Amino acid sequence: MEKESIGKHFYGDKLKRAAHLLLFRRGKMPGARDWELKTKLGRNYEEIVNQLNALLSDLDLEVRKIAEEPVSSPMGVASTSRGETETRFLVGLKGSLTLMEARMCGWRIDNLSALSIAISYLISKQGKASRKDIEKLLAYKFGRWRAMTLVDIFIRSGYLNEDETGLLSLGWRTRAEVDLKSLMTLVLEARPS
Amino acid sequence: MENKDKPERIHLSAGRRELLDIVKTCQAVENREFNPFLLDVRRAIEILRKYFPLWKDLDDHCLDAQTLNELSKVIRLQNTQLRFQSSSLYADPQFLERKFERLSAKRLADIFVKCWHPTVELEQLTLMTVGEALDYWRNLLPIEERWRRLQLGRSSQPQAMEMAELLRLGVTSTEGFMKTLERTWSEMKTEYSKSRKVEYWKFVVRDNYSETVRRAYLVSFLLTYGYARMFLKKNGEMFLEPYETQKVEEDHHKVSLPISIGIERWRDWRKKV
Repeated sequence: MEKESIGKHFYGDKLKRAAHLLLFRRGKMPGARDWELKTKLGRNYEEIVNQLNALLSDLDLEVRKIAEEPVSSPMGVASTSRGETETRFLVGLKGSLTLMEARMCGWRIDNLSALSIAISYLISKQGKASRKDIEKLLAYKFGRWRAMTLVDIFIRSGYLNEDETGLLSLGWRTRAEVDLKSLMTLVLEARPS
Repeated sequence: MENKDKPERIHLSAGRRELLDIVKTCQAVENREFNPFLLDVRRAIEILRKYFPLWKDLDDHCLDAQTLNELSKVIRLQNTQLRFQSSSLYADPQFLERKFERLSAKRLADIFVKCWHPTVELEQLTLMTVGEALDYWRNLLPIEERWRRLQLGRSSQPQAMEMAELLRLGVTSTEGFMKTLERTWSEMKTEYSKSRKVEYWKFVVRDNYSETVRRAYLVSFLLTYGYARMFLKKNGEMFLEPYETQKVEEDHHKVSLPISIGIERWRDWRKKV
């Protein structure tokens, strides 16, 4: 009984700390790594994260778990240099925004449509395509210079990755934020209005 | 003995070449330049089998192993493609390209926001970043100091210019552009009425280089606007024929012809004319 009451008080305090860790950006990427949470919250960090998730769900938010950027494995299984898989916890929107809301968040319609083109084309190419191909595809709609800038923006924000040979692949943000299956379904179903 | 060695050496170099070709093709497939199924793996393995007994050097064995390794990567890509094609994410890239061309930017953005769940992230000021910002402003030199470092010197004050000076510099002209064109057109017609032949260089080249360039510029407008046409002979000679009235031709009859008028070329033509 005593243990349970201590446990409840303990969780309440750590919930705030978990929220701070996940919501406030500290490094280049938002969220926190599993080992960071484990260090700051203790061994039962996953339980605390689940409680936070339940609290956030009322606000149309959720805690997401994504595999860290794969280092050398091409099959998409993330692993560290020691061969262990690493995960990152992020807080994201559970539902979706309207186009108007997205614009109010600072996104231009052109940028969003270019991102949808780049991502769906990459998926159709099994996750990898040359930067030249994507820029050519975007240039048809947005012009050559704009296409180059857009690809740079997407790489900087983590939606796309570029390797040293000029091949583009899906970035960590795409894997964390975009429902790829529904994107492909919607693109294939879409009819010109 | 020598005769026996020679074909074997040729055989070896041909084998090395074939293996290198396979490695290059495999690498192109890995870089998504070709479809993995375009490579005939069975044939590649046959080539490996054919040359394997001939390899004696370590380098050749390494090349053999590298080829085998590259082939295994291609087979893995073929496997991935098959699995991908059977998944719900499969779409033909060319079909998608055509689709993107037809869909409007707004429609595509609308599709994207439906399956986009952005991450929540709050950026904040930390003691460290505030410290960095303070250091920046403290170390920043006053504006006068920074100007001095650029050594820009004193800039002259804006002054009024006389009309004559502007005319001399060619910034402005006393007659309008269309008026000048008309004048050149009538000049061309007069020339044409004399000998039914107006040679391009004879018409364009004048004593002054800038005047020559100006006339070439005007002639190019006369040709584009349909006031005259140009004939190009096989020996490279160019002739002009002015029309009595402006003729508007269909675009597909028009051909662009760039003519270079460098100062050296102008000097040559000046001597000839």
